[in-house]
Amino acid sequence: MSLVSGSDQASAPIAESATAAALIRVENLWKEFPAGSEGLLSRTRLTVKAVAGVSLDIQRGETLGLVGESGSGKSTLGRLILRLIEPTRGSVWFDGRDLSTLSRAGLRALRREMQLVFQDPYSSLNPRMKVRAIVGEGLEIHQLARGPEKEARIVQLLEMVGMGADAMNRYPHEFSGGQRQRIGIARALAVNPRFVVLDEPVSALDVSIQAQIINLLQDLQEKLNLTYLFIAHDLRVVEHISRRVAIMYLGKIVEIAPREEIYANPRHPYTRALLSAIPTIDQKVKSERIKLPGEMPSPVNPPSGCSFHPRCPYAEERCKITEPKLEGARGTHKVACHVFPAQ
Amino acid sequence: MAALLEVKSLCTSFFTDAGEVRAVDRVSFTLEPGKLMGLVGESGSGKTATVLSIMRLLPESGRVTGGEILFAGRDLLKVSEPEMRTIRGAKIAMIFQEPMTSLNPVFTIGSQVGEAIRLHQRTSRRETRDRVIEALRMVGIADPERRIGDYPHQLSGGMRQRVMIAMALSCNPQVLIADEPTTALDVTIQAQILELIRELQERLKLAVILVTHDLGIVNEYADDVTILYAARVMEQASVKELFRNPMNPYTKGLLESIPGIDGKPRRRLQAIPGAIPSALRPPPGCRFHPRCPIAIPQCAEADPPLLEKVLNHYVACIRV
Ligand SMILES: Nc1ncnc2c1ncn2[C@@H]1O[C@H](COP(=O)(O)OP(=O)(O)OP(=O)(O)O)[C@@H](O)[C@H]1O
Ligand SMILES: Nc1ncnc2c1ncn2[C@@H]1O[C@H](COP(=O)(O)OP(=O)(O)OP(=O)(O)O)[C@@H](O)[C@H]1O
Ligand code: SF4
Ligand code: SF4
Ligand SMILES: [Mg+2]
Ligand SMILES: [Mg+2]
Repeated sequence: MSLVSGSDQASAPIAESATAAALIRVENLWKEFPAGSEGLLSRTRLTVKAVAGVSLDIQRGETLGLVGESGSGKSTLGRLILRLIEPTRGSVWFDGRDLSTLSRAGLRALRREMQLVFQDPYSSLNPRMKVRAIVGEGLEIHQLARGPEKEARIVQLLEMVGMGADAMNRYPHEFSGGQRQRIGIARALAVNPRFVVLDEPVSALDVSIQAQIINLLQDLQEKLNLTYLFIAHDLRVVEHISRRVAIMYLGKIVEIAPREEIYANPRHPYTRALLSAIPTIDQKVKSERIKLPGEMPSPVNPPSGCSFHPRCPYAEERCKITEPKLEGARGTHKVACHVFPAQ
Repeated sequence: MAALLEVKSLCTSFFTDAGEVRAVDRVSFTLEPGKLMGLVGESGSGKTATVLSIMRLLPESGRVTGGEILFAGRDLLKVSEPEMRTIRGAKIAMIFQEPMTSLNPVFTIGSQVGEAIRLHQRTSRRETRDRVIEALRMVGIADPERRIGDYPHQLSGGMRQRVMIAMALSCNPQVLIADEPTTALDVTIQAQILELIRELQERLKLAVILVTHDLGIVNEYADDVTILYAARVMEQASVKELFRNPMNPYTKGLLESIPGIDGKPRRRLQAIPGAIPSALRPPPGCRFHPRCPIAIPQCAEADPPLLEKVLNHYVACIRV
């Protein structure tokens, strides 16, 4: 059994193996945060298991959508992949290089190739910096352009995200949320990254603005051959933009599959509940809901066995005891469930 | 059925250093008992300002500058503040968007729900406790006898929202206003809360205003819908009618920009170009004209009134 996602045949026909094709490879990644102690007198140190043994691949040029409820560990996983935080254990490979073996200088050079776009377009831009400085900062840090060349590059970036050059001399607060998100995208793309983690890039935006940004991200991906990890809590958005979708619950990937598969043939009970809980504008679908009882358990004290078992309508005795492994029958569709394994 | 709440040409402004912000501009709707109306609009369109005007809970800088709010035949804008206090909470109750900020962190949830009850009714300690437990049970909180001793931080987001609903319903109001009650929750918990509101509304014959920006929620839970854009009502109809036959270009654009789960090959999303206008200096004429795909020069001049185009289907657009 391999924990690593197999080669996505449809997307990587030329690759000799999954590992060679993957731009990002994550192996058994863990992140635990300290979470106080059990009580005043206790010496037991508690930890939040934010990411609990994740393995996955992201192929060159693809978008992997990552969905899960609030607190399931999506942002933590994104930051671990970018090495903005250190994993408790496990490893991340970028383009065949193990990030944990890189020197500080090596890591800094790699930073240029991996960028992050934040969820909140309001707080993620420095309010005291003009747009010129915000977008140009990366060019300076990585010494990519100076003087008139830098100016020209900033104008080009702003135009690429659909904003005029006159934005350069203005401050973030003079722009709407959608415009600020465009500035955030221009900043991330300034240094010519190959891989971008998009951490809920449209969640804070209005519906009519979300569509503009999603289209922009898709256009840029094609034009610049970018690889995306697209984090969201809305399956509608992810399904639209992703080639493959991963579903996260309590720090673990419980299902990962090509987008058509996730929609047409969801296996994991949590994936099915998520899909069925989406309120839809389709007049016909108003389908039978899978109602999930209860709330997401605490990541400090995750349930035994399958951590979804307290809410799962199909839970059996074995689910409380043994943790199901993320496995695929044919490689592209993997599920972590005893009762509904991959087909 | 007769209207329980009737909002007529409501105008509300905020008076700021930069000038007057017209947050609500001639907004009208009616609400019947046992019906759920979705109040939809993008951020800043005036949804919260509308419902705070009804509750008479506007912040200091805000003021209703025109219109009427008829509740059971009386204009709420004309009743005295002491009298309004007997209506607010007891007859018209509200659930706020952020449950953590509206629950007091230093009191147990039992004492907070109890206080909401005693604010309007004289009940003994015993009776209050029983009513609190009953209210918590009604909103699906398991083991309420034990839970009444919990503090807000000991509850999850979904449970806190249930407590807010229990508080709002503890005095048997006739109207429930829910301002984006599920925005902070994930979809599986959101479905639980909306089902609960819907079930209580049917069982208790409540009239509900559900503020949301999600048309999917409106489609699945509301009976009627009012679409706001930049403080103005753009379209108003029953949910069935609106989704079958959307007429205002803004409504159509909104419906088209929602990505669907359909498994179809990837396509470009239909986007509405441009940004939402500034509330301080809204565009003249139809507020939507700078972004409207079918605008004509007259759209920049005439402010289209809300007219009944089909029976019970109101649209503000000069081209419909
Ligand atoms: N720096 C930190 N210190 C302690 N706990 C943390 C820290 N960062 C995250 N956590 C915890 O780790 C878990 C996962 O958090 P994370 O932010 O990754 O979730 P998420 O899936 O991105 O959620 P959201 O959708 O709300 O953004 C949560 O329980 C969170 O409280
Ligand atoms: N206290 C205030 N002072 C000045 N302007 C305000 C105040 N509160 C709201 N506004 C303005 O009034 C308009 C309507 O705001 P409102 O809060 O009603 O929007 P909303 O539709 O509820 O938006 P959201 O979806 O973001 O909650 C906005 O332009 C807003 O900036
Ligand atoms: S392993 Fe068992 S509890 Fe877990 S999702 Fe599958 S059926 Fe449900
Ligand atoms: S009035 Fe004109 S601008 Fe406004 S929605 Fe109708 S066509 Fe568009
Ligand atoms: Mg996050
Ligand atoms: Mg609001």
